[in-house]
Amino acid sequence: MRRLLVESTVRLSPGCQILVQADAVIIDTRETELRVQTPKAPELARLLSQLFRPNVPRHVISENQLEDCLVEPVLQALSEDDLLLDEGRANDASEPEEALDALLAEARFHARSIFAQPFWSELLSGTLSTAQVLGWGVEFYHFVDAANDYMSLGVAHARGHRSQRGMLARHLIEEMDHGQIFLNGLARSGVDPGSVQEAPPLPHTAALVNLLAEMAIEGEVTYAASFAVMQPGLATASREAVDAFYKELSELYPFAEPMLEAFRRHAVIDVDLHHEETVFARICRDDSGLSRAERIRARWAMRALAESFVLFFEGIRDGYPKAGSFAPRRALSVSGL
Amino acid sequence: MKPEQAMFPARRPVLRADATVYLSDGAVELVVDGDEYRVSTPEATALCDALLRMNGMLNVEDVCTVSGLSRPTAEAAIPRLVDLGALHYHDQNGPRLVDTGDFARICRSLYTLWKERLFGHPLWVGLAAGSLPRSVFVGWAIESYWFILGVLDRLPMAIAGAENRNIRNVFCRHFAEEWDHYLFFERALDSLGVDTVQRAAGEPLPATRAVQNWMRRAARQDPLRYAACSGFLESTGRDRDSARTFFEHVASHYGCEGREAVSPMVEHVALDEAYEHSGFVEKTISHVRELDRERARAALRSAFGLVETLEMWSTDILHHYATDDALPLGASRSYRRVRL
Repeated sequence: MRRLLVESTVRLSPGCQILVQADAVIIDTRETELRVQTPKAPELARLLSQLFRPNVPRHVISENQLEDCLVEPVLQALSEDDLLLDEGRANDASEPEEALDALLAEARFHARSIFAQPFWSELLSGTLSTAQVLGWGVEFYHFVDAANDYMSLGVAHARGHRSQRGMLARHLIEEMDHGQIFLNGLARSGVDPGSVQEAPPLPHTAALVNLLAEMAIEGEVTYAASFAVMQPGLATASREAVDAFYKELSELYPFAEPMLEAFRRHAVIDVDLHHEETVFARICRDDSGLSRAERIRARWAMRALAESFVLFFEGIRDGYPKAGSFAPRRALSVSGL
Repeated sequence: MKPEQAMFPARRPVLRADATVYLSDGAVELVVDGDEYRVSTPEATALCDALLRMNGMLNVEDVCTVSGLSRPTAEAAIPRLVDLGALHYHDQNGPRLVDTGDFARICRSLYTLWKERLFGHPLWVGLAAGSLPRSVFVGWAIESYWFILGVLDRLPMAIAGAENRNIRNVFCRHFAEEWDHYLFFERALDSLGVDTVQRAAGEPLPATRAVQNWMRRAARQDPLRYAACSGFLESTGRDRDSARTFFEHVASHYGCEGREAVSPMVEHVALDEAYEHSGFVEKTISHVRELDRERARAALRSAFGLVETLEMWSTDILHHYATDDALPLGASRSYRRVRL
């Protein structure tokens, strides 16, 4: 039986903005816009605003003088766009495949909130500074290079779903040299590679890498769940889409073209390796699927990682100057030591 | 030409990691330890670019080539900035070993500078001035509770990673004295209405988790790195008068419940002082026979990374708890909601 979202505990993506225009509610996410034509626009907008924290719409429908027949289709549309999370769906699922669908929907929901942050709109509007763009390259280098840290821990701590270790190992081997791609790209953009390697990552980047390491140490469920957020399959993965995205960025930031070519090259490798088919799906289908306790931990990992990515991009935006020249961060150096 | 002049192009200058450099009205502004220096020169843009590149990897000649700074300007500016303590030269041929007493003294002097920097953050200034909303005050108490509770995650990791039996004993004693200090903060939260149900449902902010994970990593890498990080945390309570003044200010601005909440925190500082926790680095280093320079440097870098992480933590608290839906704590939260 289909779950009715008005009866479920749901949560609206923090990336949504609710606007009222005459007889319409507009739910704007920068990427998509959902317009609901209704004479009860203010009431519907009020109800949606109450869903930014987990809430059961049924409990607030009557106080907003609304009816199921108006609210349920709106919630369904938001859910299909991964903008509304059904908080109980993954825990309540009775079949492994059903649980997997719910968990992947949850991963997409959290991934959307990462791309709703100001860093992305500013990047795509061409307003980031030279230092912020090149700083993005440096921090992303640190993040990609850290695969040898957290992915190695992930393989070493996979103690439950042992049959998936081969795939985890292959994934690590595929990623272990990718830092060099970014280092080369930065060098071709005029950034000294030795200085990049010497530069300490921003604390926001270190926080992300350390969280991934902790998830890897916990075990393969939280480790693999993190990849469900990092490779959520929000858009159709194709070489053409990747090429078009980085071509647009190169036109906005011509000084960083070689660095952006490294980003493109790395993304194309991921497309060719089909990294959107994550090891998480395999673990969820393994044996009898995830236990309830494992699903709870997987959900925690997805939420925590998405928040850490929000912080990561906030760090790049705020941690590198909005004007002036760029140089990698300097490591602490004490005279005489 | 004097020998030091001949060597100058080959020297590798290092601008302090905590110095801020920017261009302002055609001059270079340099901020070190809260002091501002202004360098006016027709080559301001090149000088600013050159200073940012002074990371000990490039020599003066390379820095000049890359930035376009002329040699005469470099020769005039660099020694002056060395005298001011903003720059020093990377020493490639220094002794392999560092005196352990020197290491402890360096820690102590750096901690003093870093404390000033950290407590100059708008969160701490705003709490002391009472200019921040109640929700931020409550949020600071909540995240401090999780931060203190995190000793259960970080210090046992350091104990397990300490091969040296004496260092392990120092860590064990510290843990035995420290492990239940979250109880002070539970009392603080009780008085603010953040009850056990909320505490069980809530989650630390990402930056609170980051502080804990930073220290867990340090513990996995080297007990000395952990000691340098922990030493900084303990040093924040060393100046008891400053801590008490801070808490008095906070208590006076957030009413009766503010006073009740702060009272256990003051007790906590007093207890740490009674345990002499501020001597943590000295106690640890006294059991290190030979201290390799690279190891000492890595430990200090770890401690500085913690300071930067604590600044990020302060910002995260300020941003998150200023929003109207941050409290009460719940099972999931709206983190960095996009707003028009």
